[in-house]
Amino acid sequence: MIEIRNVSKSYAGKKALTGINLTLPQGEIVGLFGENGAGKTTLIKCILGLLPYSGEITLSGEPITRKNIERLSFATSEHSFFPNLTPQVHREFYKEHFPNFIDKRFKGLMDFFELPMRKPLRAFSTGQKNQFEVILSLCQGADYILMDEPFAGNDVFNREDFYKVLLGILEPNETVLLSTHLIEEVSGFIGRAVLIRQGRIVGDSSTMELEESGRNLMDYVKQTYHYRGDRVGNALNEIRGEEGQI
Amino acid sequence: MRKHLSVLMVIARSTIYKILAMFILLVCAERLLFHFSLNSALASADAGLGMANLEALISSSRIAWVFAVCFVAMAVLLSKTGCEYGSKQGYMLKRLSVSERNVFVWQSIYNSFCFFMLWSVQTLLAYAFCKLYLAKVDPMLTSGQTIFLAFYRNSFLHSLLPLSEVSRWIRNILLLGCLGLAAAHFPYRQRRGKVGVTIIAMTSLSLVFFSRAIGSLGNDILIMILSIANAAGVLDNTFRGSADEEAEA
Repeated sequence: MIEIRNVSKSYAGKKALTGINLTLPQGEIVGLFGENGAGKTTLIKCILGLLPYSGEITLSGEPITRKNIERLSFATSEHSFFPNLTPQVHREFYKEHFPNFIDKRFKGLMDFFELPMRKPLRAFSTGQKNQFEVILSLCQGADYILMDEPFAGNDVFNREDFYKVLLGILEPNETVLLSTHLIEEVSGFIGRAVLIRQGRIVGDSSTMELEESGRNLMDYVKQTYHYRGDRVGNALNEIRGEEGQI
Repeated sequence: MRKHLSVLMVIARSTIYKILAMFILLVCAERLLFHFSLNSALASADAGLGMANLEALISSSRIAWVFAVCFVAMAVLLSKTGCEYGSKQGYMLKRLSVSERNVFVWQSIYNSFCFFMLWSVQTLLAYAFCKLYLAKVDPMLTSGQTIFLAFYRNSFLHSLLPLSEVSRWIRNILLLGCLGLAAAHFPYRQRRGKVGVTIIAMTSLSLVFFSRAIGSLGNDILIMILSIANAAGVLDNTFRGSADEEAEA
């Protein structure tokens, strides 16, 4: 279980995260939603220890250090692989550094997405790079797979394939924390939604609870963010009205 | 140890083919330049204008310029390895059981080895040109000492292979070590959003002061001092910096 207790983070005096408390038990697929600059990426980077923060983040009761970092994997649209090297070299590198690397899964996913094994990654398209980034994170053998906008640049069919593959291959002990804007696309696939706004957790609900209350994920997000659907209509009426007067 | 070696392999695989290709280009370009210079010198000799001596031929062939271009290209290539251009490799490096500090050490060792290889290729090539000169020129104009004397008289050849001048050997070894460190420091800083200027300073220093005549002790000592100072700065920045980062995290 990952436990995040009272985590705060500032960039040059500006608060990016404020008093975040969150628990991620094993075996869940959690969606992390929020507008741009809400703190999603910062939170994930704090969990991974890529950024210093105040507060406490533990993994099975232990602080996250080099000793247990292999239990976390990370996929980001910024990419974290070595662009001059091939997938085959990454495979060998990961096998050496991550003892639980799932080679069968790696080969299967590379075949499924028809990615070349011996071509340098810099020559891949953006979509292929994203696919490879996600494949690496899924095959590391980590208990917690943290994904930050992993499909930015992929087409809708490709994303659809990934959601299906993800649901099909995840083991019961594997947890996914998926940060994305594509709320409707992932609504049928996540088990829990965490909403973050201006560096604070403003909503945390399982999809089952939402179903029981007769709401869907989009309604829940809009409600939590106090989204006013009539805002656009009113603005348009105002603009048209002004134009009419001119 | 296997994990450390796999880091070294990843670093090497990122550049080794480009470096080998560069060595091939170096050999071809210098061979061509020396060929033209030698033929021109032989033509002058045939015309009764006298034969250029070996050290003059080495200077006029401009092989030192090709070496300088390759040296700069290698410094750029090695400094780019591990930089976050197109991919945030730091995210992966920070999640390994091998610390980023150790990655820096392995990269420095590899870089120094590459600079050493460049020096070795250039020295062997220069020696091969000397042998070619002996084979082509009238034996009456050469002696068993011709190559030996050329490596004393020509600044470029002497700086490549300083023979019994100990200060130049020490200077060269320090340069190799410091260039390796500086080239590894550049990506280390770049991953932190900073610029590692030491490689620029060391490359410029080497370009300007590498070829020096025999007995330039003051010049050798100056380069030694600057190399040691730069290496100390790089090591302090890397090791103290990462200790601070770990404490902060």
